[in-house]
Amino acid sequence: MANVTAQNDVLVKVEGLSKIFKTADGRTINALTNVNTFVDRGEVVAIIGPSGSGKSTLLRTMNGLETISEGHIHIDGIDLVDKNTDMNALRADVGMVFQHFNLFQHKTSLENITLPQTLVRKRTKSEADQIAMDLLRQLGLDHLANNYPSQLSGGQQQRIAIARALAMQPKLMLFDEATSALDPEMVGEVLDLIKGLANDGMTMCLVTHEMNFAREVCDRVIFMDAGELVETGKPAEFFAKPSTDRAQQFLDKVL
Amino acid sequence: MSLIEFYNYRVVSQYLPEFAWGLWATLWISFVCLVGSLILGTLVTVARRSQKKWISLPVTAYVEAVRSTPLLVQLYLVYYGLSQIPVLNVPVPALACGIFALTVHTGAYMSEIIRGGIEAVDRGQFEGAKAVGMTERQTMINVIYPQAFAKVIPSLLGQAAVLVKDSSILSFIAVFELLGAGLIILSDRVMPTEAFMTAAFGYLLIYLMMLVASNKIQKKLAGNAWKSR
Repeated sequence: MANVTAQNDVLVKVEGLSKIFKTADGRTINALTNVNTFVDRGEVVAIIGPSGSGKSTLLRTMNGLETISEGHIHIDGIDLVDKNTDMNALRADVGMVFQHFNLFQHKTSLENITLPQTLVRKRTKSEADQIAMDLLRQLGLDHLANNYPSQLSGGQQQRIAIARALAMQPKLMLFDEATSALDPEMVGEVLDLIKGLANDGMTMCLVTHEMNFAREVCDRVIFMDAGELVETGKPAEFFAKPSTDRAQQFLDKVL
Repeated sequence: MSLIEFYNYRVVSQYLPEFAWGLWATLWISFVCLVGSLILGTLVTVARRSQKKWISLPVTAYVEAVRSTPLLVQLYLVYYGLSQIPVLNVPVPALACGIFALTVHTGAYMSEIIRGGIEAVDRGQFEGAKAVGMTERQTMINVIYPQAFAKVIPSLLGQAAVLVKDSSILSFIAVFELLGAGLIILSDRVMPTEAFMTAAFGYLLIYLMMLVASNKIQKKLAGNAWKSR
């Protein structure tokens, strides 16, 4: 534990990570193969690559939504592979934002934000309400506090989902294609919110198809293909001239 | 043919106290079994989802056994079988046997309905709860079960209606209820039409009461904005 935290401000350390899925008919699929990377505290990292490249899987292993077949992930010095690690406590510290929001359908916006706080952080109802309302006000969503998810637009739902994660005061935020399910006119409001978080110094990993956003907001880009981490670099350099052919081919297609 | 030749309401009116009593018996027996089977069904669903095979397997066997055998056989098995168990040397009253058998029978069906409700809840709800650090138990109680039950309330009510009708089978072990009231007319006067028609009216009456109640419950739920998707 100590040797990892000693390397000043590395928050996430991924070492030799492999993920093997078994399909129903007994075949094995290597979703991730020997991935090594890191995320510094306060850093914003975009994970990009073609579909099926393993970028979502990499993100999901970071809060234990996917198990790890080989290798290690340390988050703030905590080993995710260690059997003694309390994964629920870890997940409370790692915020996750999903493509389809995954708001609790039977709870109002406010209740969505307070429920995890009271259950997991053991805050009192009034504390949780206070934190939730402050967040909703900051995001300009306080007028929707008593609406159910089904009454909200996709962009509003996603911003509530981000607020739900932020209320837990996470060390790290993970975004799994947070804008992919949104109507085009809603993408901006969610990206603006994420940009605001980046400016506030939140450590974030984003799986995204928004290349302009990755170029503008992120500190570093990770390019993945076929389960491998192919290259990583500063957005300006990466988007101008990637060092591998695979990345170049991908950029030719999407830009 | 006048009505009184087909259905002798004068005779029936003499037996109204029996029918009122039978209607009441059917109502409260069904209610007790309904509450019992909902509790049992929920517990069975929880047990069937267990990762531990020694919990989930016997419970699955129970559900399949109940679903694959006739209710009457189950009732006789409980009625004649329960008194054979050494611990219960005292004969168990027929009414207790009947309520027990009906509850165990309906509980299996209720658990299947509830299980269907859980499977109908979007996978994303599990992941959303997991990702904020909720335990499995917190997730089920606070996120999954409320949504699962809301989805299957019409089916649960349908099963409750079946339960009311099934309760007539208790007359086979001489528990007095609505059908039993009809059987009194049959044995006293040998008037099968009056006997069974009146009993049938009674069940219809209960069904209509349940329909009104179910409409009220559903309206209340539909009022909940999260249901109106």
